[in-house]
Amino acid sequence: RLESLICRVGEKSTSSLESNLEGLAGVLEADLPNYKSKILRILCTVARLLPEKLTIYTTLVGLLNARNYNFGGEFVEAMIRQLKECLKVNMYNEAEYLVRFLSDLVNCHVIAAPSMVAMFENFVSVTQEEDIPQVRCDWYVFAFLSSLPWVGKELYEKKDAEIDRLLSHTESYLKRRQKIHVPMLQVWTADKPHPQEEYLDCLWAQIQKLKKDCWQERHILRPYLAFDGILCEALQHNLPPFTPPPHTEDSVYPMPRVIFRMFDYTDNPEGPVMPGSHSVERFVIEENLHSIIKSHWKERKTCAAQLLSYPGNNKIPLNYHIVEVIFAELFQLPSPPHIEVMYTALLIELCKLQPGSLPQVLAQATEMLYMRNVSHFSYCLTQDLEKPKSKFVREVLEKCMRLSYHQRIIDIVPPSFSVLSPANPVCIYKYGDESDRSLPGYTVALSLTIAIKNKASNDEIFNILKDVPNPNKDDDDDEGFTFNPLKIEVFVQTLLHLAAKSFSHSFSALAKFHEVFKVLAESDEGKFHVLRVVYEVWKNHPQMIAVLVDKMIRTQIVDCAAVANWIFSSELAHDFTRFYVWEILHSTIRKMNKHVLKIHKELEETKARLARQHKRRESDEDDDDDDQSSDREDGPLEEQIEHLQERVESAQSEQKNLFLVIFQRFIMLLTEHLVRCETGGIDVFTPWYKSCIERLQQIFLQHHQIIQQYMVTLENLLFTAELDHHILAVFQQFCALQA
Amino acid sequence: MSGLLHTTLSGLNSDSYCEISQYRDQHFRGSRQLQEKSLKISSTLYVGNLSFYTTEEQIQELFSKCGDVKRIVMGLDKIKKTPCGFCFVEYYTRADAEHAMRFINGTRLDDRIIRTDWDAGFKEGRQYGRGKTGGQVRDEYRTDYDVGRGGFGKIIQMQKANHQPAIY
Repeated sequence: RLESLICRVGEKSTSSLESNLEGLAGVLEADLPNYKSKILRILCTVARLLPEKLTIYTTLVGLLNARNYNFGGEFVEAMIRQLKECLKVNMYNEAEYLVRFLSDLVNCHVIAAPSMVAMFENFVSVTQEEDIPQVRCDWYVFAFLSSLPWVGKELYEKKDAEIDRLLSHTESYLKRRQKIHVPMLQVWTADKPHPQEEYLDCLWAQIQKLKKDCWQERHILRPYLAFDGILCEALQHNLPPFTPPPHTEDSVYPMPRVIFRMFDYTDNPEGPVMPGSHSVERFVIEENLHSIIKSHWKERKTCAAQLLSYPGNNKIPLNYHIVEVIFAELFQLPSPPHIEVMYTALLIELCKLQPGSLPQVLAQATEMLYMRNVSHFSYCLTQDLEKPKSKFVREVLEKCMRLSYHQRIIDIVPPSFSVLSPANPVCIYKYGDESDRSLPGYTVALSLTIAIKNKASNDEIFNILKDVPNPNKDDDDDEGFTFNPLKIEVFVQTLLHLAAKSFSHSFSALAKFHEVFKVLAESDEGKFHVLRVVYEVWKNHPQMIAVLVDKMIRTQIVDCAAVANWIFSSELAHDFTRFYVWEILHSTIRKMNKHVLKIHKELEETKARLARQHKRRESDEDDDDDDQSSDREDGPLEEQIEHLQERVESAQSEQKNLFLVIFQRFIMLLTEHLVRCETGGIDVFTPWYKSCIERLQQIFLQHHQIIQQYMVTLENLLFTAELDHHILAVFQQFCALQA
Repeated sequence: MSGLLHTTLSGLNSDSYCEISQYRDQHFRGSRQLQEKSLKISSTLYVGNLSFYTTEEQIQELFSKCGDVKRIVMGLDKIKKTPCGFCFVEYYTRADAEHAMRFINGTRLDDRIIRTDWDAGFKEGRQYGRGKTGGQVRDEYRTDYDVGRGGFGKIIQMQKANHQPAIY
């Protein structure tokens, strides 16, 4: 009940916010004798989880403090404890909200300004620490700067000299900090019309402008102003001296980010003016909208409603802000904070709620993204299929086809664009025609077809395949099952062709003849060749290739490294820049990662079971102290643990190898290109090159947590100083993300 | 005041799209209790209101947005063995299935609003429609004309064929 009352204050109501706050303060004050610790806990939690309602709750705390000084003191103490906890467990986003909350409590006369300034002084002095990662200093500076929109005015009025000094220290830190990481995080490569600023640089510019404007800030809702009379009477508390917890090996600080902007005041000529990119209003609005999404992402209707009821609707072009914030999250690197499909569902709900205005903004955004996303070439799209714009359109049409069907796309694409339409996703069977009968293996393919249609067993299949000659065969090689590419070709072509009707048919085929696959693809070359044939058969149907590769990995017909090598092979070079190839590679890496996690989890669970068993034995009264019997009990579990330990190590080794293979192939490919360009005197930055370098970056970013484990190996083995600086730069930028 | 960081707000925990619906499979082998328990841990979804022409490929593409799909089983007309407008989508993890309930349920596939619901798990035989004429029960009784689901409902179709009012 208390939780509900507290959470709901600030929502649409028949009474004013002020009277609701006053009423709630009265209720809570009355409940303090019995429910004090519960109330403290709830208030601390809303401070941490509902930053979009910051000023509402600081006002509430202010009112409570005015009525009960001790409670105010206990609340501040609890908040400090919570802040310390957050920092200890790397919850930096939550910690930031807590710092902001504390600073706004100065405005509510709960905390004395000088003690807040002292805390900020300790924050900024982190920049003087030695041998610490830059991202640590970044956070403390950010926590200071990001509180200033709320409390800058009050603090400056009381302690201008100190604030000036802090700002000056901050400025010199910002000037000397490294910005190697920035290019990796920028969404656009060009800086026009919207510069892609690093987040701290942007915030600094915003605070400088705020200071120039004498700390006048008009956007933030400040309910406490209505209660100034009451709050002024209250006694303030001093924050205890706060020492930032020291840096440890386990500390993981937030990664830097780049502020994504796509709109400015020119984009909405008829409505309210969009606050400038360096205005503090822009910062506050964006922070609050991001918070709302974070709070309500699971409930798309609620989320849309909450976004659209953000206060200030008639003074700011809210629809534009919302669309920009959503795209900012979608484009966030290394990855969006939430699953992508959430954002599309959210946009649909937003359009439903604002059918007269939001779809237009979305259309404007889409057009802008399309116009800016691809190159500046003004070729006719259909003239040069290699141009990024053409490629982009082709990929979009292919995705549309996957969600519908081929004929539909053909019907809706105008004739002038028809060259960009996707291929009809039909299978290519090389033994399908009478005219193919001269091909080696043709007759075996025919027998196989008949046999499979007659529900032949695996053994019968092996029998038929025995007759396939091996083009690679040595004279003294008498073993029937060494790598025979022709055998693989005939079998895989025939089977896939027979099962071509649907995914289910193909999966059934893989399952039924699993044994045959395992034997034929036993060697690395075998695995590679299976993948090659799959591609040959289904090159018109990338979606089918993807699901087949997925199944083959899961049923261990091929392994992840084989897939990686195949993707970088010359056979796939023509499709190397197509999206489906990267879908497959990233999906493969994800499967590998999940596999490692799964076995690790099993290991931890078994260890826990053993620990519980020990505990149970210890507490047993009739323990016979017989070492042998305890060993006997532990035996099976211990054996299991040993076995699982081996499996974990083996999986981790496979995982590391996968990444090494991928990086190695990238380096080979890019180096080849760079050398060729240098000797030929041509420009390095072809569309292919740009695409390839970005795909390399994508590997780093999308799997950064795993890759962090391999930094030493990568630096010593692959990304050494001899490498071309173009390639090395990518690695260095990645290192800078956690430096 | 230990465990401050573990405190959550029930208002923020709301996840209404993931709640189990009122529907219970009448053919389920087991108690209501067991069915409900299965629904709460299931990674399988029932997907309804599909067009008869929607393919496995389209379903794979759409539902893959929420995670890796383990298996799709197309719902079939019991007599004709052709798709009859529903399917089961099974994910490897419940978390992925929850995303589908939150973000795909109520959106369009093949220009139709589709509906997802928790399913206790696919068992052989459940891929068939349970209507008298082989398709889904809803297609027996509905009175609208739906071009993606064979036109009029089956009973109406029979009426039109016999020019007689149905007696039931």
